[in-house]
Formats: sequence, C-alpha cells, structure tokens
Amino acid sequence: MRLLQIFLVMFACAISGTASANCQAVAKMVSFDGQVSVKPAGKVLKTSPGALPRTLCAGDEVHTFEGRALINDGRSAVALDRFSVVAFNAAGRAALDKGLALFEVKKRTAEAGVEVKTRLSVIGVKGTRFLVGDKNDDVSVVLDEGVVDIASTQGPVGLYREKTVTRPPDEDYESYARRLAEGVAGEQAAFEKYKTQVQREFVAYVENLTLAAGKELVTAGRIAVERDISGESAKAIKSLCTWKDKQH
Amino acid sequence: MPPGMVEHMVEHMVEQIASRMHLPLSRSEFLNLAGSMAALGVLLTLLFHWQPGPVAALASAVSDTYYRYNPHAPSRDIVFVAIDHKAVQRFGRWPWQRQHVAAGIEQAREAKVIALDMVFSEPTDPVQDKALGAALARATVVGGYLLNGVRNARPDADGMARLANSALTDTQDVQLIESEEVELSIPEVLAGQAALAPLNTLADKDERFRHYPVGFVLLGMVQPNLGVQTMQIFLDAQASLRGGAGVAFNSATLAYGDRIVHLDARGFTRLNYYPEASFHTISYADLFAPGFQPASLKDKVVLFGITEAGVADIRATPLGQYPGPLMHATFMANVLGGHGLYELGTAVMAAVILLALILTLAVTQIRQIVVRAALYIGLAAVAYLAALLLYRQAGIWLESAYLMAAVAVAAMLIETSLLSHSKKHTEQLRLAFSTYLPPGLVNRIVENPEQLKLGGEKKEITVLFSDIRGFTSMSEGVSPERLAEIMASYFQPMTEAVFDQGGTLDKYIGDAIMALFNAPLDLPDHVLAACRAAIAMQYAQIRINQTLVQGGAKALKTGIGINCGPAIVGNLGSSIRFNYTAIGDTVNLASRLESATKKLGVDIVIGESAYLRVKDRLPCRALGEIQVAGKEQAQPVYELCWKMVADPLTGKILEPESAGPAAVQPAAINPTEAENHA
Repeated sequence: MRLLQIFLVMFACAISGTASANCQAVAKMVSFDGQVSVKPAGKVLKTSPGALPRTLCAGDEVHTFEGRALINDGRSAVALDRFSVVAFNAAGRAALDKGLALFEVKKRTAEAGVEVKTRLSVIGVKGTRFLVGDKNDDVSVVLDEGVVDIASTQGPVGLYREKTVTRPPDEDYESYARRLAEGVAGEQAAFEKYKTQVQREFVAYVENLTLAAGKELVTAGRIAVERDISGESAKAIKSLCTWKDKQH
Repeated sequence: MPPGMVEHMVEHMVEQIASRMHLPLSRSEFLNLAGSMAALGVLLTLLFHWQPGPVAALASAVSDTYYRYNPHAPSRDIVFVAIDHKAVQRFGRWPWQRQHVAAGIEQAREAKVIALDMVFSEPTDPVQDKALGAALARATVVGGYLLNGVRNARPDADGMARLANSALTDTQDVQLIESEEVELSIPEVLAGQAALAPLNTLADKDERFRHYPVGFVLLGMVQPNLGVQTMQIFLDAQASLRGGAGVAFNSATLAYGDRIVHLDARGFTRLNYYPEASFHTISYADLFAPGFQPASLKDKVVLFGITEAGVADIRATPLGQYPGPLMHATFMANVLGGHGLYELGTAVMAAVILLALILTLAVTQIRQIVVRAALYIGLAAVAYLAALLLYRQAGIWLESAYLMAAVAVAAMLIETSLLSHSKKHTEQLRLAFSTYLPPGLVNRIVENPEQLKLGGEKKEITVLFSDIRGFTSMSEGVSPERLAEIMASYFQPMTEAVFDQGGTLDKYIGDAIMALFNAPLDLPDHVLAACRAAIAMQYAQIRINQTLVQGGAKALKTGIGINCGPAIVGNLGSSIRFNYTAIGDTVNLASRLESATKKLGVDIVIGESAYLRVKDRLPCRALGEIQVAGKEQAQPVYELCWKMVADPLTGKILEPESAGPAAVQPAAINPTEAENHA
C-alpha cells in the first residue's frame, strides 16, 4: 500500500513536471472580480481563471468584461480595468491590446526594467506607477509617479504640448466668443474650441520621449499630445489603486 | 463680297441651325428631363438606403432569384446531423431523454467541433442530465442559448463566467443588437460545453431570412453567433470584428485571419444560400446504423439540429422553407468556401443607379420608338444579368431591381417628354407651315416630319415671283382702308392658286408674291406645277379685275417670273428670327424674269431651264435673250402663253394633253427692241 502511495505521488509529480515544462510561467493572477477570462497562448477558447493564484504562461491573455483582475509578474503589479485585454509575453513584458491597465513597478526590481507594448508605442519603465489606456483610436500613457520612456512603434510622431488655459486673454477671447457663439452654451462651446487652438503647441517630431510624473501622453495616429494628467485619468488611477489596495 | 462667300456663310449658318435641330428634345426639355431623372436617382438611392418594407420585398423578389444560379456547393467538412422524422420514429417525439442525446454526441465526438442548435434549459432526470454533460465534455462542443427564449433571465455567476469565456474581445466600433437576458442550458449541460453561442437569427422586413447576425452584445459582452463561434474553433483562428465607417460603404468585417466576412452596419452578413439537399446531412438515427463509422466524422464540423416537422424552426428563405439550423451551416459553408457575399453600400449603389440613368438617357438619341423600347428592355435585362454575373463571379450583391426600376421609370419619363415634345413640335410645324403651305401639305409634314429637312439643304426648286404692275400709281388714288381690302381680295385667290398646285408661299413682299415649288416637300413635276399656278393666277387676276372695275377701281395687271434650278432652302435667318425660304441665283433670276415681264410686254416669263421642262406640255414662245444683273451672259427667256391653256370662261386650267400641241412661236419682237419701244 505504501509503495502504491509512493508511486501515485511520483506519477503526480511527473504529470505536474510535464505540465510545467509546457508552460513558461511569467505572471500570476492574484485576484479578480466580475467576469474575467484567460485565453491560453495559441488557443481560441477562453477559460475561467479557476483557483487563485492562477499561473499565466508566456503569451496568455487576460480578458476582463464586467470585472477587474490583478496580475503580478514579479516586477510589477498590473490592475486590469473593465473590458480590457492584456497579454503577458515574458517576465516584465506585457502588451495592452485593449482597455485600461494600471502598472505599478516595484522599486526593488527596477534594474530589470518593465516594458509595456501598445498598438502605437513601447513604454520602458524603471520604478514608477502609470496607467496605460487603449480606447477607440488613441493610446494614452498617464504617469502618476516616476519616469517612463516611450518609443513610438510607427516612426516619428508630431509631439504637441498643451498648456493649461484657465482664463483666455480678455479682449482676444471675447471677440472670438462674440463671433462664434450666442448665449452661455455657445460661449462654452466657443471657449472649448478656443482652448484646443491656443493650448496646443507643436514641439517636434519624435520617436522617443521621456514622460515626467504628473503628465500624460495621448497618441492618436501620428500625433502625440503631452499634457497634465486629466481629471478623467486621475479618477481612473484612483479607482484602480483603491481596488488594487482592497485586494491585499 | 464674292457671291461664293455669301453662299458659304449661308451654308454654315444653316449647318449650325441644323445641328441644333438634330436634338430630339430642346435644350430646356432635355434639362427638365435630366432634372427629373436626377430626382429619380436620388429617390431610388433613398429607397435603397432606407428600404421600406414593400420596396425591399419587391427588390428582394428580383434578387432572390440569383440564388438559383449559385455555382458553389457547401463544404463537405460540415456535417448536419438532423433530428428528423426517421430519428423521431426511432427515439420518440422531441424532446428526448437526454441519454439519447448523449449517445449521439458520443458517436460524433471525433469531430473537431460539435455545434448544438438546441438549448437544454429544463432539468430532467439528474442522472441523464449529468450523462449528457459528461458526453459533451468528452468532445469540443459549442452549446447554444437563446436571447429571446421563453425562460429568459439574467445569468448567474457561473453563467456569466461561461458567457465571458465565449465572448469576442477583438472588436472595434461594432454596433450589434443588445440584450440583457438569456435562456441558457442547465448548469450540468453548460459544464460540458467548451463555448457558448446564441442561436438567434433575424428576418428581413418581409419576414424572409436572408441575413445572418454575426453576434450580439449581451451584458456588455460581444457574443459570437453559433456559426461564428464554431468557425473560430474549427479554423483555430480568433475572430476579429470591425465596425463600418458609415452607411455609405459596407466596410464592417468579421475576419478569421485572411478569411473576411463582409457585414452591414448592423453586423449582419448576407447568406449565400445553397440548396438544402446539397448539405452533407445524416439522420440522427443513422448515427446508430450498423454501418456507421464514427471516424467518418473525424476533424469535421458536426452541427446538430432539428428538422422534424412541428418541432423544427423552419424559416422562410429565398430558397423557400429551410431548416433553421442550416442557416448556421450556410454561414459556416460561406466562410469555409469563401462564398460570402458583399452587399454594395449606399454610395456605390447611388453611382450604379446614376450610370443606369445616364445610359437610359442616351436612348433619347434614338428616333424609332420600337428601337427605344427594345433598348429599354435590353438595359433592364443587362442590369439583371450584370447583377447575376457579379453575384456568381465575384460574390458582389447588387440589387438589380433598383436599376430596373431606374430604367423603367426613366423610360416613362423619356417617353412622356418625347410625346410632349412631339405634340409641341407638331403644333409648331402646323403653325409655322400653315401660313405658307396648303393644309394638305401641312398634314403631310406633320404626319411625316422626317421628310422635312428644316435644317437647310441645296436642292432643285422652281421659284415663282409675281408683282402687280402699276401698283404704286394705283395705290396713290385709294384710301388705305380700301387699299387693304383690294390687297386682301388680290392675295387670297393668288395664294390659293399657288397652294392648289402644291406650292409653298414663301412670303409677300409688298404687292409681290414669292412662291416655291419642290420645297420643303418634294413635288415630282414642280416646274409644271409652278407654270400651272402662274396660269391660274392670271385667270384669278381677270376675276379680281371684274370686281375692281365694278367697284370703280382700275384693273390690275400681274407679271409673273418663273425659274427652275438649284437653291439653298431651309430655315434661314438669325437665332432671333428665321423663316423657311430659299436663296441663290435661281431665286434671283426668277425675280429678274418677273421684272422683265413689263419690258417684254408679256404676263408670264419663264427661264430656259423651266422652258425645257414644260415646252412639250405647255404653249411657250421664245422671247430672245435678256441681260440681267449679276449675270455676264444674256439669258434666254420664254413667254408662257397662258391664255391658251385654260377655259376662257372659268379660267380652269386644261390638262396639258387637252391643251393641244405646244404652240411655240417665234418672238414677235426682240426683247431689246421691245425695251426700246417701251
């Protein structure tokens, strides 16, 4: 009987060893809520995460629907927002295919570096907290803390920098608003249009740039706009941070 | 200015007018017609875009016939296992005990993927439910669910997780039908299914099923339809769904790698139907037949569905009544065979309709209505055949009914315009010619306008000029009112004399009359006709004089000149005013001959060319030669002895034969002498 038990344990280990040989573990899903699926690399069908922590193999994709997932790849914690897709290709190498993800890079592993691919850019990170979004036609990188290097994967892009306009030059704006709008709603619309015109100034054509904390870069096609973190982005970071903290 | 240059200028002007007159419609009529057709094009485009029910049904009635000529057959990799009458006879009325279903799944488990067009939403015997779940788990099965089932509900957590696993995530800008509730299979059955998919299809406005929805949005998740999900597994390819940029072009697509399925803005694709019998179909009962080899289904797509009458979801399709499961099979076969269809968007359709209208408009250049009618029918047939060819060869779906309607309505517009133009033209002809042609000739022109060359031509004509001698001195002693009366009583019988002989009254020039023979309509013996008209005019003069003398006025005398030869005839003038007339040397000489009557002391003088035509039929007398302006050589002239060819009492002209042999007499005096005597 004892021999049988030993045999069974050895057999189980052998099966486990075979399984681990086929899977190069690159990350673990440590938490999720709502509808979250894992699409194993090379497979068409998605599966439920199952028991946590769920090991993610190289190339596995995490899909969220009405749900969120927290993934740890040893170098960073990734909080994946609703209706998002992220793939983990290697340790510290993630690709956001869709949606919104908050990356928090651990400082003690900063030397190894973290790289996040998007449709339009590659983000190199060393010790930081940033949000990456891919929605509709644009890709945004929102840097909350630290420094990130962003490299365009589509050649040079026109970099624009936005200034914060709180109050337009009185005479200039007033004449502009008079021409374009009537009433309060019209003035507001005119002001918004005016803002986009006067705020944005061309900087240069760049393929690489370093983003400082408190800034976000929104890339759409061949145009990248650098600006202060918007209220919407700050709200998304806060929401994901709060959710992530609750998972601990 | 040289005489030849004048003729050249006149000819050029005539050509200009002629080229303008060649158009079947006037410029304004043509513009009105083109405007109406443009409005028709816009209307048809809008109808195509919005497709109101009756219009769409009519259009589909035409295009549904394309399917009869589908050159393709469904892939043999798709096997339809039909729960048909034979199966029902063996296993009883549907729904069966689930052990029977499990047994069927076991028989097909070597398939690469099994698709179930059925939902097991009610629990039965727990053992049998579990047995079915276990059988499903041993194969790769896509299970169906309904979005509008009778037991619709919000799914529980397990159901949501399974739906999430089945959702498409590679999607962009999709606009699919949304739903909040589903009717799923029971958990025991769900547990055995590798993926889920909705089974819903939607009919077109005329309740016929032509389009296949590739997915729905369920609780925020894009759920691929049964065929789409099954193909993902069969092809080992993730489907990506891209929304269209707008309604003008159908640019939405569903792609499995290089395999593209074209969609409309709602995420529907038009199915390319095959005959029902062309599918590889097995009766469910035959899965258990002695000779059945489960290996025969290895690596196939096996679709389970119900066809038994009374249970099956039979759908009205362009090919008639069709089992609902075969709509999923048709979609899959379209993907595997590359037989999918691309429906033209509104912008492209608008361009095609415009082309059809332009081609139809070109038919206005054809004058024969029979040829036009044949061309209309031909264009409509070409529209249908072109659409059929596009369907067969390129998988492009062109609704030919809109083009046929464009041709038909445009044809009606064209024919109405041409009819209206014809009526207007007839009235114009009647109005224009009634003043200088006898009514009989006007009718001939109206009935046969093609005989009329209004644009101007060079032809042989006979010109008659008449003039009242001593008119000026006579008019001086008469009041204007009396003069008008005299002129009316003079012109009336004189004009009738011209008309009686088929002549054309060119114009009145003061007290003179200019008449043409052989224009605008051909008159076979125009010289004789002109001479007879001149004789009749002289007898009319006698009657007029009787009336004048009785009224106390002086008798009048009319001199007439006749010449025959080539002249340019047609509508001459400027764009502001032109009228039908003749010009040329022949006309000038006729006028000179008329002028010479007084000097020669005769009533009717004819030129040599006219003389040669009538000398054997009318009594003429040579008058010698006279010198006329514009002619270097003296012209021989002849007197037409009119008094010898008519009844002296009535003035009725005798037939040439009864007039006796032509009495050609030598001139009594040399014209020059006569002139000297005068």
